[in-house]
Amino acid sequence: MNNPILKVARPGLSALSADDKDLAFSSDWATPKIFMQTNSNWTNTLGYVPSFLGFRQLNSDVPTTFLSPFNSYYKNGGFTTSHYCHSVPSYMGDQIGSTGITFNYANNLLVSPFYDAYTGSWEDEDAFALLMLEPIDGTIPTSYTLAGGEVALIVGDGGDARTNFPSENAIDSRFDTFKIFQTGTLTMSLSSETINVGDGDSVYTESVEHNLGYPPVYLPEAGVGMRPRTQTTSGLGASSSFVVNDILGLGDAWEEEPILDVYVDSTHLYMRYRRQEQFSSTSYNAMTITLYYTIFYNEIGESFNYLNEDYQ
Amino acid sequence: MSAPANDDAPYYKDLDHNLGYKPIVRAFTYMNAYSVTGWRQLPIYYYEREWVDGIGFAIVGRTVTYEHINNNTIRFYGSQDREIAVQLFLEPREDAWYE
Repeated sequence: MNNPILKVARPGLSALSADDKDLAFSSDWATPKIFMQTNSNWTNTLGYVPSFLGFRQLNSDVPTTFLSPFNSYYKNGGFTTSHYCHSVPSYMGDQIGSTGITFNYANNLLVSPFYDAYTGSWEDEDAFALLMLEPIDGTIPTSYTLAGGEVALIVGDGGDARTNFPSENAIDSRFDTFKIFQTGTLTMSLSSETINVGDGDSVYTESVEHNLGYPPVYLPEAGVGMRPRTQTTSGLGASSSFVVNDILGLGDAWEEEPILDVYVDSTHLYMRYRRQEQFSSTSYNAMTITLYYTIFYNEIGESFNYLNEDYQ
Repeated sequence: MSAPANDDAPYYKDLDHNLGYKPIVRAFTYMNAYSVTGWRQLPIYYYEREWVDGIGFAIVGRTVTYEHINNNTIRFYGSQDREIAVQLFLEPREDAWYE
Protein backbone atom coordinates (compact mmCIF):
# COMPACT_ATOMS: atom_id res chain seq x y z
CA MET A 1 0.00 0.00 0.00
CA ASN A 2 1.31 3.38 -0.92
CA ASN A 3 1.83 5.98 1.78
CA PRO A 4 -0.88 8.65 1.95
CA ILE A 5 0.03 12.05 0.51
CA LEU A 6 -0.22 15.15 2.65
CA LYS A 7 -0.80 18.39 0.77
CA VAL A 8 -1.10 21.92 2.14
CA ALA A 9 -2.59 24.56 -0.11
CA ARG A 10 -1.74 28.22 -0.18
CA PRO A 11 -4.51 30.59 0.88
CA GLY A 12 -7.09 30.85 -1.89
CA LEU A 13 -6.16 27.56 -3.52
CA SER A 14 -7.47 24.02 -3.16
CA ALA A 15 -5.04 21.23 -2.35
CA LEU A 16 -7.20 18.97 -4.50
CA SER A 17 -6.80 20.97 -7.67
CA ALA A 18 -3.74 23.22 -7.37
CA ASP A 19 -0.63 22.38 -9.33
CA ASP A 20 2.10 20.97 -7.12
CA LYS A 21 4.25 24.05 -7.69
CA ASP A 22 1.49 26.19 -6.22
CA LEU A 23 1.16 24.21 -3.01
CA ALA A 24 2.69 25.31 0.28
CA PHE A 25 3.73 21.71 0.90
CA SER A 26 3.35 18.26 -0.64
CA SER A 27 4.80 15.05 0.81
CA ASP A 28 5.06 13.86 -2.80
CA TRP A 29 8.20 15.95 -3.08
CA ALA A 30 11.38 16.12 -1.06
CA THR A 31 11.82 19.19 1.11
CA PRO A 32 15.40 20.36 1.70
CA LYS A 33 16.56 19.68 5.27
CA ILE A 34 19.16 22.15 6.44
CA PHE A 35 21.28 20.49 9.10
CA MET A 36 24.13 22.94 9.45
CA GLN A 37 25.21 26.49 8.84
CA THR A 38 28.80 27.34 9.61
CA ASN A 39 31.75 29.56 8.79
CA SER A 40 34.22 26.79 9.70
CA ASN A 41 35.64 23.70 8.11
CA TRP A 42 33.74 20.55 9.00
CA THR A 43 34.78 16.90 9.09
CA ASN A 44 31.97 15.17 7.27
CA THR A 45 30.42 12.38 9.34
CA LEU A 46 27.59 11.58 6.92
CA GLY A 47 29.52 9.30 4.58
CA TYR A 48 28.29 11.13 1.48
CA VAL A 49 28.49 14.62 0.01
CA PRO A 50 25.49 16.75 1.01
CA SER A 51 23.96 19.54 -1.01
CA PHE A 52 25.16 23.00 -0.04
CA LEU A 53 25.04 26.73 -0.63
CA GLY A 54 27.93 29.12 -0.07
CA PHE A 55 27.95 32.80 0.82
CA ARG A 56 30.49 35.60 1.04
CA GLN A 57 30.56 38.38 3.59
CA LEU A 58 32.15 41.36 1.85
CA ASN A 59 34.03 44.34 3.25
CA SER A 60 35.45 47.68 2.20
CA ASP A 61 38.56 46.10 0.64
CA VAL A 62 36.69 44.02 -1.94
CA PRO A 63 37.20 45.43 -5.44
CA THR A 64 34.86 45.59 -8.39
CA THR A 65 37.32 43.67 -10.49
CA PHE A 66 39.58 40.69 -10.04
CA LEU A 67 42.74 42.70 -10.16
CA SER A 68 44.76 43.88 -7.23
CA PRO A 69 45.05 47.48 -6.03
CA PHE A 70 48.47 47.60 -7.66
CA ASN A 71 46.89 47.23 -11.07
CA SER A 72 45.52 50.28 -12.83
CA TYR A 73 42.15 48.58 -13.33
CA TYR A 74 41.53 48.25 -9.61
CA LYS A 75 38.42 49.97 -8.33
CA ASN A 76 37.05 49.67 -4.86
CA GLY A 77 33.68 47.93 -4.87
CA GLY A 78 32.06 50.17 -2.30
CA PHE A 79 30.98 47.25 -0.15
CA THR A 80 30.88 47.00 3.65
CA THR A 81 30.75 44.13 6.12
CA SER A 82 26.95 44.40 6.06
CA HIS A 83 26.90 43.11 2.47
CA TYR A 84 26.58 39.41 1.62
CA CYS A 85 26.29 37.49 -1.64
CA HIS A 86 26.51 34.02 -3.07
CA SER A 87 29.90 32.35 -3.19
CA VAL A 88 29.97 31.92 -6.94
CA PRO A 89 32.77 32.83 -9.34
CA SER A 90 33.35 36.35 -10.40
CA TYR A 91 36.07 38.12 -12.24
CA MET A 92 37.72 38.62 -8.93
CA GLY A 93 38.44 35.07 -9.78
CA ASP A 94 41.99 34.21 -10.78
CA GLN A 95 42.72 33.38 -7.21
CA ILE A 96 39.39 31.87 -6.31
CA GLY A 97 40.10 28.29 -7.34
CA SER A 98 40.75 26.89 -3.91
CA THR A 99 38.72 29.40 -1.93
CA GLY A 100 35.00 29.61 -1.38
CA ILE A 101 32.94 26.57 -0.37
CA THR A 102 34.23 23.12 -1.37
CA PHE A 103 33.69 19.53 -0.38
CA ASN A 104 37.20 18.24 -0.92
CA TYR A 105 38.56 14.91 -2.15
CA ALA A 106 37.87 13.39 1.31
CA ASN A 107 34.31 14.76 1.26
CA ASN A 108 35.07 17.22 4.06
CA LEU A 109 33.81 20.79 4.00
CA LEU A 110 36.33 23.56 3.39
CA VAL A 111 35.18 27.11 4.10
CA SER A 112 37.61 29.73 2.86
CA PRO A 113 36.96 33.45 2.27
CA PHE A 114 37.83 34.75 -1.19
CA TYR A 115 41.09 36.66 -1.24
CA ASP A 116 43.74 38.06 -3.53
CA ALA A 117 46.36 35.34 -3.64
CA TYR A 118 48.74 37.47 -5.68
CA THR A 119 49.25 40.37 -3.34
CA GLY A 120 47.16 39.65 -0.27
CA SER A 121 45.71 43.10 -0.77
CA TRP A 122 42.13 42.12 -0.05
CA GLU A 123 40.21 39.28 1.55
CA ASP A 124 36.51 38.77 2.18
CA GLU A 125 35.33 39.36 5.72
CA ASP A 126 34.08 35.80 6.05
CA ALA A 127 32.55 32.81 4.25
CA PHE A 128 29.51 30.76 5.19
CA ALA A 129 28.17 27.37 4.19
CA LEU A 130 24.60 26.15 4.40
CA LEU A 131 24.40 22.35 4.29
CA MET A 132 21.40 20.18 3.42
CA LEU A 133 20.96 16.47 4.04
CA GLU A 134 20.03 15.77 0.43
CA PRO A 135 23.00 14.03 -1.23
CA ILE A 136 24.79 15.14 -4.36
CA ASP A 137 27.24 12.25 -4.35
CA GLY A 138 27.53 8.96 -2.50
CA THR A 139 25.07 6.76 -0.65
CA ILE A 140 23.00 7.74 2.36
CA PRO A 141 23.70 5.66 5.47
CA THR A 142 21.43 2.83 6.53
CA SER A 143 21.93 3.73 10.17
CA TYR A 144 22.97 6.99 11.73
CA THR A 145 22.65 8.29 15.28
CA LEU A 146 20.91 11.64 15.43
CA ALA A 147 20.03 13.90 18.31
CA GLY A 148 17.25 12.46 20.42
CA GLY A 149 13.99 13.96 21.66
CA GLU A 150 10.52 14.43 20.26
CA VAL A 151 10.33 14.69 16.50
CA ALA A 152 7.63 15.11 13.87
CA LEU A 153 8.11 13.04 10.73
CA ILE A 154 6.18 12.87 7.47
CA VAL A 155 7.12 10.10 5.13
CA GLY A 156 7.88 10.85 1.50
CA ASP A 157 7.31 8.50 -1.40
CA GLY A 158 8.53 5.35 0.26
CA GLY A 159 9.66 3.50 3.33
CA ASP A 160 8.83 4.05 6.96
CA ALA A 161 9.28 7.53 8.38
CA ARG A 162 10.63 6.09 11.63
CA THR A 163 13.43 4.13 9.99
CA ASN A 164 14.16 6.20 6.89
CA PHE A 165 17.25 8.32 6.89
CA PRO A 166 15.94 11.90 7.27
CA SER A 167 16.74 12.89 3.67
CA GLU A 168 14.27 10.21 2.53
CA ASN A 169 11.38 11.71 4.49
CA ALA A 170 9.32 14.69 3.38
CA ILE A 171 9.52 16.39 6.78
CA ASP A 172 11.81 15.90 9.78
CA SER A 173 11.33 18.52 12.48
CA ARG A 174 14.90 18.11 13.71
CA PHE A 175 16.09 20.15 10.76
CA ASP A 176 15.53 23.56 9.26
CA THR A 177 14.22 24.13 5.75
CA PHE A 178 13.79 27.01 3.33
CA LYS A 179 10.93 29.37 4.09
CA ILE A 180 10.09 31.83 1.34
CA PHE A 181 9.59 35.39 2.54
CA GLN A 182 9.10 37.18 -0.76
CA THR A 183 9.24 36.60 -4.49
CA GLY A 184 9.37 39.23 -7.17
CA THR A 185 10.94 40.74 -10.23
CA LEU A 186 13.54 43.48 -10.09
CA THR A 187 13.95 45.38 -13.34
CA MET A 188 16.62 47.88 -14.36
CA SER A 189 16.03 49.93 -17.51
CA LEU A 190 19.15 51.57 -18.87
CA SER A 191 19.25 54.28 -21.51
CA SER A 192 21.83 54.31 -24.27
CA GLU A 193 24.83 56.43 -23.41
CA THR A 194 28.36 57.24 -24.43
CA ILE A 195 31.07 57.27 -21.81
CA ASN A 196 34.08 59.34 -22.78
CA VAL A 197 37.56 59.08 -21.34
CA GLY A 198 37.54 61.01 -18.10
CA ASP A 199 33.80 60.64 -17.50
CA GLY A 200 34.24 57.87 -14.94
CA ASP A 201 32.00 54.84 -14.62
CA SER A 202 28.22 55.00 -14.76
CA VAL A 203 26.78 53.01 -11.87
CA TYR A 204 23.10 52.07 -11.57
CA THR A 205 21.40 50.39 -8.64
CA GLU A 206 17.94 48.93 -8.13
CA SER A 207 16.84 47.35 -4.90
CA VAL A 208 13.94 45.69 -3.17
CA GLU A 209 13.24 46.33 0.49
CA HIS A 210 12.81 43.33 2.77
CA ASN A 211 13.56 44.85 6.21
CA LEU A 212 14.13 41.48 7.84
CA GLY A 213 16.82 42.95 10.07
CA TYR A 214 19.44 40.43 8.93
CA PRO A 215 20.95 39.37 5.59
CA PRO A 216 18.60 36.73 4.18
CA VAL A 217 19.33 33.77 1.94
CA TYR A 218 18.20 34.55 -1.59
CA LEU A 219 18.10 33.08 -5.07
CA PRO A 220 19.30 33.04 -7.79
CA GLU A 221 22.90 32.17 -6.99
CA ALA A 222 24.22 35.50 -8.14
CA GLY A 223 27.11 37.32 -6.55
CA VAL A 224 29.28 40.37 -7.10
CA GLY A 225 31.80 41.05 -9.83
CA MET A 226 29.85 39.11 -12.44
CA ARG A 227 30.37 39.62 -16.16
CA PRO A 228 27.24 38.30 -17.84
CA ARG A 229 28.04 35.92 -20.67
CA THR A 230 25.62 37.62 -23.02
CA GLN A 231 27.81 40.67 -23.02
CA THR A 232 30.86 38.89 -24.24
CA THR A 233 29.58 37.92 -27.65
CA SER A 234 29.68 41.36 -29.20
CA GLY A 235 32.82 42.88 -27.87
CA LEU A 236 33.60 45.72 -25.55
CA GLY A 237 30.77 48.01 -24.66
CA ALA A 238 28.19 46.09 -26.62
CA SER A 239 25.28 44.89 -24.60
CA SER A 240 21.76 43.58 -24.88
CA SER A 241 18.91 42.95 -22.49
CA PHE A 242 19.16 39.85 -20.34
CA VAL A 243 17.66 37.96 -17.42
CA VAL A 244 20.17 37.58 -14.57
CA ASN A 245 18.92 34.08 -13.79
CA ASP A 246 20.00 33.06 -17.30
CA ILE A 247 23.57 34.33 -17.22
CA LEU A 248 24.95 33.04 -13.96
CA GLY A 249 27.90 31.47 -15.73
CA LEU A 250 30.83 33.53 -16.86
CA GLY A 251 32.71 33.66 -20.09
CA ASP A 252 35.81 35.31 -21.42
CA ALA A 253 35.60 39.03 -20.85
CA TRP A 254 37.74 42.09 -20.85
CA GLU A 255 38.48 43.94 -17.67
CA GLU A 256 36.63 46.98 -18.96
CA GLU A 257 33.31 45.27 -19.60
CA PRO A 258 30.23 46.04 -17.49
CA ILE A 259 30.01 44.46 -14.07
CA LEU A 260 26.88 43.09 -12.42
CA ASP A 261 26.55 42.79 -8.64
CA VAL A 262 23.72 41.10 -6.73
CA TYR A 263 23.93 41.21 -2.94
CA VAL A 264 21.91 41.70 0.24
CA ASP A 265 22.11 43.44 3.58
CA SER A 266 19.72 43.54 6.53
CA THR A 267 17.20 45.73 4.70
CA HIS A 268 17.51 45.29 0.92
CA LEU A 269 18.36 43.04 -1.99
CA TYR A 270 20.47 45.03 -4.46
CA MET A 271 21.19 44.74 -8.17
CA ARG A 272 23.98 47.05 -9.32
CA TYR A 273 25.29 47.50 -12.84
CA ARG A 274 28.50 49.33 -13.67
CA ARG A 275 29.32 50.57 -17.15
CA GLN A 276 33.02 51.21 -17.04
CA GLU A 277 35.00 54.06 -18.50
CA GLN A 278 37.38 52.61 -21.06
CA PHE A 279 40.51 53.71 -22.88
CA SER A 280 38.44 55.29 -25.61
CA SER A 281 34.95 56.67 -25.96
CA THR A 282 32.44 53.83 -25.71
CA SER A 283 28.76 53.69 -26.60
CA TYR A 284 26.38 51.47 -24.67
CA ASN A 285 23.02 50.26 -25.94
CA ALA A 286 19.73 50.82 -24.18
CA MET A 287 18.89 47.64 -22.34
CA THR A 288 16.81 46.04 -19.62
CA ILE A 289 18.16 43.77 -16.90
CA THR A 290 15.65 41.51 -15.18
CA LEU A 291 16.18 39.61 -11.93
CA TYR A 292 13.64 37.05 -10.76
CA TYR A 293 14.41 36.89 -7.07
CA THR A 294 13.31 34.79 -4.13
CA ILE A 295 14.11 35.97 -0.60
CA PHE A 296 13.95 33.43 2.22
CA TYR A 297 13.45 33.90 5.94
CA ASN A 298 16.68 31.94 6.48
CA GLU A 299 19.60 34.06 7.65
CA ILE A 300 23.04 34.07 6.09
CA GLY A 301 25.65 33.88 8.82
CA GLU A 302 23.57 31.99 11.34
CA SER A 303 25.48 29.08 12.91
CA PHE A 304 23.98 25.79 14.03
CA ASN A 305 24.53 22.05 13.80
CA TYR A 306 21.38 19.96 14.09
CA LEU A 307 23.17 16.66 13.56
CA ASN A 308 23.87 16.58 17.28
CA GLU A 309 23.04 18.63 20.32
CA ASP A 310 26.29 20.55 20.35
CA TYR A 311 25.04 23.89 19.14
CA GLN A 312 27.75 26.25 18.00
CA MET B 1 28.46 16.36 -22.57
CA SER B 2 28.20 16.08 -26.33
CA ALA B 3 28.29 18.95 -28.78
CA PRO B 4 30.50 22.03 -29.09
CA ALA B 5 29.23 25.13 -27.26
CA ASN B 6 31.83 27.83 -26.64
CA ASP B 7 35.53 28.17 -25.89
CA ASP B 8 35.15 28.17 -22.11
CA ALA B 9 32.70 25.30 -22.01
CA PRO B 10 33.07 23.40 -25.26
CA TYR B 11 30.44 20.72 -24.63
CA TYR B 12 26.86 20.69 -23.51
CA LYS B 13 24.15 18.27 -22.50
CA ASP B 14 20.41 18.91 -22.25
CA LEU B 15 18.24 17.92 -19.31
CA ASP B 16 14.56 17.65 -20.23
CA HIS B 17 12.31 18.21 -17.21
CA ASN B 18 9.14 19.01 -19.19
CA LEU B 19 7.63 21.07 -16.35
CA GLY B 20 6.37 23.71 -18.74
CA TYR B 21 8.15 26.46 -16.79
CA LYS B 22 11.70 27.25 -15.70
CA PRO B 23 12.40 25.75 -12.27
CA ILE B 24 15.00 26.83 -9.72
CA VAL B 25 18.16 24.85 -10.44
CA ARG B 26 20.90 23.71 -8.07
CA ALA B 27 23.85 21.93 -9.61
CA PHE B 28 27.29 20.71 -8.56
CA THR B 29 30.36 19.21 -10.15
CA TYR B 30 33.56 17.61 -8.93
CA MET B 31 36.57 19.69 -9.93
CA ASN B 32 40.04 18.29 -10.30
CA ALA B 33 41.82 21.10 -12.04
CA TYR B 34 44.48 23.68 -11.58
CA SER B 35 44.01 25.14 -8.06
CA VAL B 36 40.73 23.44 -7.16
CA THR B 37 39.85 19.89 -6.15
CA GLY B 38 36.48 18.93 -4.79
CA TRP B 39 32.73 19.44 -5.18
CA ARG B 40 31.70 22.96 -6.12
CA GLN B 41 28.36 24.51 -6.89
CA LEU B 42 27.63 25.75 -10.38
CA PRO B 43 28.29 28.12 -11.97
CA ILE B 44 32.02 27.72 -11.65
CA TYR B 45 34.89 29.43 -13.42
CA TYR B 46 38.25 27.74 -13.10
CA TYR B 47 41.64 27.40 -14.68
CA GLU B 48 43.45 24.43 -16.09
CA ARG B 49 46.68 23.73 -17.88
CA GLU B 50 46.41 23.13 -21.60
CA TRP B 51 48.97 22.56 -24.31
CA VAL B 52 48.80 25.28 -26.96
CA ASP B 53 50.79 24.74 -30.15
CA GLY B 54 53.48 27.38 -30.54
CA ILE B 55 53.14 28.50 -26.95
CA GLY B 56 53.49 25.44 -24.75
CA PHE B 57 51.50 24.91 -21.58
CA ALA B 58 49.06 27.72 -20.94
CA ILE B 59 46.62 28.43 -18.14
CA VAL B 60 43.19 28.74 -19.72
CA GLY B 61 39.83 29.71 -18.26
CA ARG B 62 36.99 27.20 -18.24
CA THR B 63 33.38 27.33 -17.08
CA VAL B 64 30.75 24.85 -16.01
CA THR B 65 27.36 26.44 -16.16
CA TYR B 66 23.80 26.08 -17.39
CA GLU B 67 20.92 27.93 -18.98
CA HIS B 68 17.22 27.39 -19.52
CA ILE B 69 16.90 27.11 -23.29
CA ASN B 70 13.10 26.93 -23.01
CA ASN B 71 10.41 26.03 -20.44
CA ASN B 72 11.17 22.33 -20.63
CA THR B 73 14.92 21.98 -21.04
CA ILE B 74 18.04 23.06 -19.18
CA ARG B 75 21.36 23.03 -21.04
CA PHE B 76 24.51 22.35 -19.04
CA TYR B 77 27.87 23.46 -20.42
CA GLY B 78 31.29 22.14 -19.52
CA SER B 79 34.17 19.94 -20.56
CA GLN B 80 33.91 16.51 -22.14
CA ASP B 81 32.86 13.68 -19.80
CA ARG B 82 32.13 16.03 -16.94
CA GLU B 83 29.56 14.76 -14.45
CA ILE B 84 27.09 17.23 -12.99
CA ALA B 85 24.78 16.53 -10.05
CA VAL B 86 21.50 18.41 -10.49
CA GLN B 87 18.73 19.21 -8.02
CA LEU B 88 15.63 20.87 -9.45
CA PHE B 89 13.24 22.71 -7.19
CA LEU B 90 9.58 22.39 -8.04
CA GLU B 91 9.32 26.14 -7.53
CA PRO B 92 9.72 28.20 -10.69
CA ARG B 93 12.59 30.68 -10.79
CA GLU B 94 9.99 33.42 -11.42
CA ASP B 95 7.22 33.96 -8.87
CA ALA B 96 8.23 31.00 -6.73
CA TRP B 97 5.73 32.10 -4.10
CA TYR B 98 3.73 35.31 -4.25
CA GLU B 99 4.65 38.34 -6.32
